[in-house]
Amino acid sequence: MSQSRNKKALTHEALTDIIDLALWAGQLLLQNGASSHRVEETVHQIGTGLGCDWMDVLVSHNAIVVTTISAGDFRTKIRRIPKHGVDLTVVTAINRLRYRISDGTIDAGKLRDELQRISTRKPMYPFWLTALMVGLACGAFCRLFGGGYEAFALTTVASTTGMLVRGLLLREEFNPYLMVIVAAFVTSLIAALGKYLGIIDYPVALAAGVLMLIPGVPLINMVLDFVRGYVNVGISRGIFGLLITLSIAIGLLLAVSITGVPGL
Amino acid sequence: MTLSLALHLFEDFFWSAIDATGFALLFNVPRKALLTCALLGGIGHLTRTITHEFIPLDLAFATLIGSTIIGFGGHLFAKPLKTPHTVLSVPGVIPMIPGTFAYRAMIGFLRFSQSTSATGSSPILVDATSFAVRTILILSAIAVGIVIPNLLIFRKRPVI
Repeated sequence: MSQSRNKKALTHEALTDIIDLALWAGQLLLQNGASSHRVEETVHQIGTGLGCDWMDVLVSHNAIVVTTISAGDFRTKIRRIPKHGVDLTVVTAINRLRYRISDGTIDAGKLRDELQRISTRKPMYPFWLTALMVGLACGAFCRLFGGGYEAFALTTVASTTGMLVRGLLLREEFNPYLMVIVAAFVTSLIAALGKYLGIIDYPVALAAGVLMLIPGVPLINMVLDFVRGYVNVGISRGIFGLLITLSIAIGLLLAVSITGVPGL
Repeated sequence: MTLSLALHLFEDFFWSAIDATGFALLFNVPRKALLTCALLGGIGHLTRTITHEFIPLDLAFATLIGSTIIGFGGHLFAKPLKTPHTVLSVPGVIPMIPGTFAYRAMIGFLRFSQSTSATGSSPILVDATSFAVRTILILSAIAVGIVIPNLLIFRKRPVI
């Protein structure tokens, strides 16, 4: 706190402005798959970089609470995080902004423009390309699990279709668990059709096809949060990941209960 | 013999790299970082395959080594690419997800629930539980491996 004596006392309006910007950046981070430590550190650096004496940040799974302090005056605000997704380009962009703030090469007005630009940016890759590449990735899983090229093609078709279904349901704002169950069901049903196409190792396609739905980012963030001491956020993320994983299992088991249960 | 071995290792690298790239697209990783994600995914899975098949280490331990290498790689490339290290390492570890083990555990539990005789169902339950435990162990190894560089070397002082 020794450096804070050199800082000017901010007006109440300036504090309001800073808390808004810091919360906005924190919200974008938490919404798009950053770990709690990164959220807290970034919000803190933005606030102190823009002239506050100190920032206290409380990160939760679906809300951030921030208090800004400047020369005895303080403001506190809560921001809800209603939706979670994964967009690592946003995380990268805000990480760069953070370094520009600690360098002092960006002010509050410019930061607002940048955050506006980041939050309204279109996805970096077209939807069909993502679906196709994720389908190929699941096909690659099939090869890694020892499946043949026929099973590879089957997995790729099944997972690409599943990704298209998932994208459609995501756009229509369905419940995430329902979305995962339906996507896993469609993917597994197509993979199970391999039985009738004479593909012997179609169970490998069944195992590999639904892996695109695995909540990898929440599960890894869970461990990162546990290690950094954010045990409560980690537990929330872990339960969320577990529920999504169970939803995958439900979709897959519904599909194989129609076509008969194949062992691997 | 050596040719087929080389082909096996090349395929291992190739398909894991494809895998990591697909998931990097799903996670909307910046374009500049895509190649690094593919490289880390390939190297990490190749390391796991080599340590598992040739030393031979237990698969969970081999996974830990593979994901630790990916974790270090993420830190190595984070500075020049100006990205957080997790942006590079998270897609990289995806190929090591134990899909077949999870599948076998799931199908095993389903068969157990459908089984009618107590003597017939106990080996099914033992098998399914074994696969479930291995799945959890490997998943934990993946996540812990990413964090290990933070714990050992990049212990930067917290700003808060």
